[in-house]
Amino acid sequence: MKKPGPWLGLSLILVLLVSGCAPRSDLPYVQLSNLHPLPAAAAGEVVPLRVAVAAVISPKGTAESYQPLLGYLSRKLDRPVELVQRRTYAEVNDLIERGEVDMAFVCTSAYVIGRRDFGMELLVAPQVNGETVYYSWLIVPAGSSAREMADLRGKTFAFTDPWSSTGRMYPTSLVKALGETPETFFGRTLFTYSHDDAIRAVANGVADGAAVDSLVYQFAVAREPWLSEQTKVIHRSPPFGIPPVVTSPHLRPQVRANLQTILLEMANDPDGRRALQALDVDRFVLIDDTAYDSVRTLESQVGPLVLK
Amino acid sequence: MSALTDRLPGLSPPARRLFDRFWAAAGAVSVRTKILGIVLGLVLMLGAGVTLQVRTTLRNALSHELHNRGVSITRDVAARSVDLILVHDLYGVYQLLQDTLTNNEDVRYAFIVSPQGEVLAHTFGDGFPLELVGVNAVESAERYHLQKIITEEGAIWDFAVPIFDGRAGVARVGLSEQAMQTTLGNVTRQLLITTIVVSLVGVAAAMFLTWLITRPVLDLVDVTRAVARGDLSQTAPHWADDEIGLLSDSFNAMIGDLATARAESEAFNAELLRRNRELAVLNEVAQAVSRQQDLDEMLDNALRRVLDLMNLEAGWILLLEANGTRPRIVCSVNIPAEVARREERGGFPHCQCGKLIEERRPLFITPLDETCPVYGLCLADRRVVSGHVAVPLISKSQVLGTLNIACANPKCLSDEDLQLLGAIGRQLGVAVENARLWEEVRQKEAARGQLLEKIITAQEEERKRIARELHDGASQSLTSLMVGLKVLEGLHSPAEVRQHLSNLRDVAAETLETVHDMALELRPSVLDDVGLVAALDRYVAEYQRRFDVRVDSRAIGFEGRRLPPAIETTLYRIVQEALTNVVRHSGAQHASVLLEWTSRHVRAIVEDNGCGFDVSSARQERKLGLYGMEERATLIGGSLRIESQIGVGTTIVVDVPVIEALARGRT
Ligand SMILES: Nc1ncnc2c1ncn2[C@@H]1O[C@H](COP(=O)(O)OP(=O)(O)OP(=O)(O)O)[C@@H](O)[C@H]1O
Ligand SMILES: [Mg+2]
Repeated sequence: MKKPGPWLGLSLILVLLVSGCAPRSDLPYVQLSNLHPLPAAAAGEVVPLRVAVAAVISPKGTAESYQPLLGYLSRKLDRPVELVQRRTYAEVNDLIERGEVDMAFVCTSAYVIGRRDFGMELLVAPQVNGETVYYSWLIVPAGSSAREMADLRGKTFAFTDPWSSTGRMYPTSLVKALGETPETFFGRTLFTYSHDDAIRAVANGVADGAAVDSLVYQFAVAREPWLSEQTKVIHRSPPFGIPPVVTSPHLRPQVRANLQTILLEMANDPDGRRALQALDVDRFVLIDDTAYDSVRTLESQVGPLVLK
Repeated sequence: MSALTDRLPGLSPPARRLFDRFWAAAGAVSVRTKILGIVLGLVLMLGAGVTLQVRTTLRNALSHELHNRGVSITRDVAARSVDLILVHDLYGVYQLLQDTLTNNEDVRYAFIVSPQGEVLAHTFGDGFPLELVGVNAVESAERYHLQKIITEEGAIWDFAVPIFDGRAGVARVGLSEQAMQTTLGNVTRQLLITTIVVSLVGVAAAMFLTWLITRPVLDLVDVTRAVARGDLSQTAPHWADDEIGLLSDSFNAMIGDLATARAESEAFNAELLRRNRELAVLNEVAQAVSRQQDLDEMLDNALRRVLDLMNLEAGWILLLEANGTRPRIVCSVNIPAEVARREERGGFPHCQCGKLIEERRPLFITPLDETCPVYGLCLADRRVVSGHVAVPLISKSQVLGTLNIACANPKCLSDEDLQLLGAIGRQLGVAVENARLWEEVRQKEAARGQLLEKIITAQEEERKRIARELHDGASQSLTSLMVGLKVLEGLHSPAEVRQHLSNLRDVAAETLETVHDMALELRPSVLDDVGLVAALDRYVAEYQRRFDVRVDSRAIGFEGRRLPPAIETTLYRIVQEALTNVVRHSGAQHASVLLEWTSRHVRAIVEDNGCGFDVSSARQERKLGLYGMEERATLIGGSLRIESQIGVGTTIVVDVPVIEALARGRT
C-alpha cells in the first residue's frame, strides 16, 4: 500500500469533473426544438389612427420628433395613434393609396405624384418661420473651396432620395443648366435616403456636396451644432411649396375634418404648441394645391417623377 | 515507528495512531517505492491543484467574457434593429438577426419581441419555441437582463435588451455555454494529459533517482557482506562525492584498518609461534644440558635435540681445547667418520667457517668450497649438502667450539632460526665452560689433597731437619760448650782459661750462626723489618752469592709504601720458589725479577733464559712448586700465569689487583 496521495488527487479531479457537469435545476427549462407557428397578430379592439412619416430624417429621430404630436392627436381624438414609418416615399404613398394609413407627412414631390396618381388629399401644411415654403440648399464641407455647382464637377455628390425635389430634382436641374447630366458631371453620386444622412455625409467628408431641405438643415443644425461647423451653404434655391400633411382618399370625411380642425387649432393650445415645437413648426395652416406648381415646373425640367 | 512518533511531540493520540498506521505501511516498503510514491503523489496533487485552479479561473474568465459578449451582441442587435423596426423593415431585422447568428458561434438564437409581445423576427426558421418568449423580460429602464436557461442542448444565457427604450420592443439573444464548456473541457483534458505525462516522467526520474541512490548503497551492502565473511580484499566503489561517497570512503578506510589489524595480529601470532618453538628448543637444550652428565654425552644429547626440533638431519659439535691443541669432534649425527676426521685435521678453523671466531655469530655458508669437509656429502634420500651452518659455542666472549649443521636446502634455516641457533650456541658454550670449570675444580680438589699431604710430610721433614740440625748443629755445639765449660771449671791458669774461653766463644758464635740460619730459613723476618723490596734484594744477593745465576732485580712504584704483610709474604714466597725452580730446572745463566705496583695491580714477574718446559704436562705431574704458587696467588685474590717455551725460557707472572691486595691487607 502506497501513500494515499495519488488516489486522493485522482478522486479530487473526478469530483471536479462531475460537479462541473451537474445540471442546475433551478433554471427555467426550454425545449428549443419544440417549434410552433407564430400566432397571427390579434386584431386590436380599438382601431388606431395610423400616421405615416417618410423617413426624411432617421426613423428613430422621426419617432422622437413626432411622438408629442402623435400623443396630442391621440388625446384629442381619444383614440390610439400609431406611427408608421417607411424607408421610401414610394412605400408611404403605397400605404396612403391603399388606405393603410390615414394621415401622412409626405414630401413635396411625393404629394405632387400622389395627387396626380391617386388623388392624395392636402390636409394642412406646416408654417415654419412664418412661411409655408422651403428651399433647397447646396452644402459643401466647411473647408471646401467650392462656391457653386460648377465647382463640384467630378466630385462625389450625395442625393437624398430619387423623389426629393430639394435633394435630387433641384441639384439635377442645376447640373442640367450647366449642360450636363449628374452621371457625367459628378465623379460619383450616392443616395442617402434621408436629409440627415446627406448632411452627415458632407460633414464627415464622405461626399463633397449635397442639396438638402433647408428646413431639415436648420433643424439638424439646431439639434447638432457640430454639423454647422463642418458644413457651409454655398447656394440657395427659389422657394418650393412646403411638404404638406395629406390624408388618404379612403379616409372618412368626418375624421378628416376632425383632424384638420385639431391640427389647425394646435397653436392655440399650450399642449399643442409643445408638440409643434418638437417639430419646429409654428403652426399648421391650410394650403392650396397651387403652392406646388413650382415643383411641377421643376419636374418638367428634370423629367417626370416616378415613385418606385 | 513509535520511535518516530515519539520524536514528534505535540501530536494528539488519534493523529499519532493515524501516523503510526501510515508509517507502518509507508515504512515497510523499499526506498524505491517511497520515492516513487512521493514523486507520484506530488505530481498528481500538483496536477490536480493546477487543473482545479486553472479550471476555476478559466470558467470565471470565460463566464465573464461570455456575459460581456452576450450583452454587447444583444445591445448591438437592439441598436441596429431600431430603425429597421421603426420603418417596419422586418426582412432587414431578420437579416440582422441571421447575420448575428452566423457571425457569432456562441449565439444559438436571436429574436425580436414587439412591445405588444409579438415575435417580429427570429432565427428559428419554421416555427418558434413559444415558451422562450416568456422566460426573460427586461424593464425599459434596464440596460439588459440576463436569464440563464436550460435546454436540451445545454445551458443557454438569454440576454434581453430593450430596443428604443422598449418602444420598438426587446431584442433577445441566446448564447450557448457549449463552446465555453468545450474550452473548459479541452483545457482540463490538456492539463490532465500533461499531469499524466509529467507523472510518467516523474516515475522514470524517480526510478532513475532511486537507482542512483540505492546502487551505491546496495554495493556497500555487498561489500559489508563480503567483509562479514572475512574477505577484506573488497572495497566499496566511490560513485560520487556525496554522503554515500563519504560513507563508502570511511567504510573503505575501516576495511583497510581491519586488514592492517588482521595482518598485524597474524604477524604477531606467527612471531608468537616462532618464539614458542624457540623457547621449546631452548628448553629442550637446557634440559639436555642441565642433566648431570659427561660433557661429550651432554653435547651429543643437545645436538640430537636441536636437529630433531629443527627438522634437520646432519650435524656435529667440535670443541677447541683449552690448551690450544687441535679441535676435537665431540659428537656427530649422520656424519661419516672419515668426514669427521677430515674436519678434525684440516677443517675448522682453516675452512670458511673459521671466521666465526672473529664474528662470534652463527654463519650460514653456501655455496660450499670444495675444500670443505662436508662438500658433496650425500644425505638421506640422495640429497647433497649445499649449506653449512656453523654456530659458535661462546662463553665469556670466547669461542669454545662450534655447533655445525649440514643441510641440502639453502633455505632450510631462516634468520630467526640462525638467531635461535646463536642462543643455543651461547647456552652450549656456557655448558661447555661449566663442564670444564667443573673438571678443573675436580683436579684442583685432588691437588689440594696432595698438597695437604705434602705439606704435612714437609712439616715432618722440616721438623726432622730442624731436629737433625739442632742435634747435629746447635745441640752438638751446645754440648761442646757444656764440655768446654766443664773443662773451664778445672782450669786454673788464666792463660788457659782465656784460651779456652776464646774457643768457647767461637763455638757459641758458630752455634749462634747455625740457629740464625735456621731461623732465617723458617721465617724471613727481614720481610717484617725491611719490607718486600729490600728482603727480595737481600735474597737475590744471597742467591747470586750461592748459585752461579745472574739475577736482575728491579722494583717500580714501591717507594715509601708497604703492601699488607700477607701479600708481601705471598709475593716473596712465589718469587723465592720461582728462583729456586730456575736454579733447579732451567739451567739458565740469567734471570730477572720485576716488581711493579701500579694504580690497578701489583705484579711480580720472574723471567729466565733457561730450557723452558711444557706447562700443561708439568701441571699434570702435580708437582707442588707450581701448584703452590697458584694456590698462594689465588688465596690473595690474584692469578698466576706461566709462559714457557722450550729452549727459550720461562716467564712467571703474578697479578694481584690493587683492590684485592688492599682489601686482603685490611683483614
Ligand atoms: N725455571 C724452570 N726452568 C725449567 N724447568 C722448570 C722450571 N721451573 C719448573 N720446571 C719444571 O717444572 C717441574 C715442576 O716444578 P715444581 O717446582 O713444581 O717441582 P720441583 O721443583 O721438581 O719440586 P719441588 O716440589 O721441590 O719444587 C720441574 O720438575 C721442572 O721440570
Ligand atoms: Mg720447584
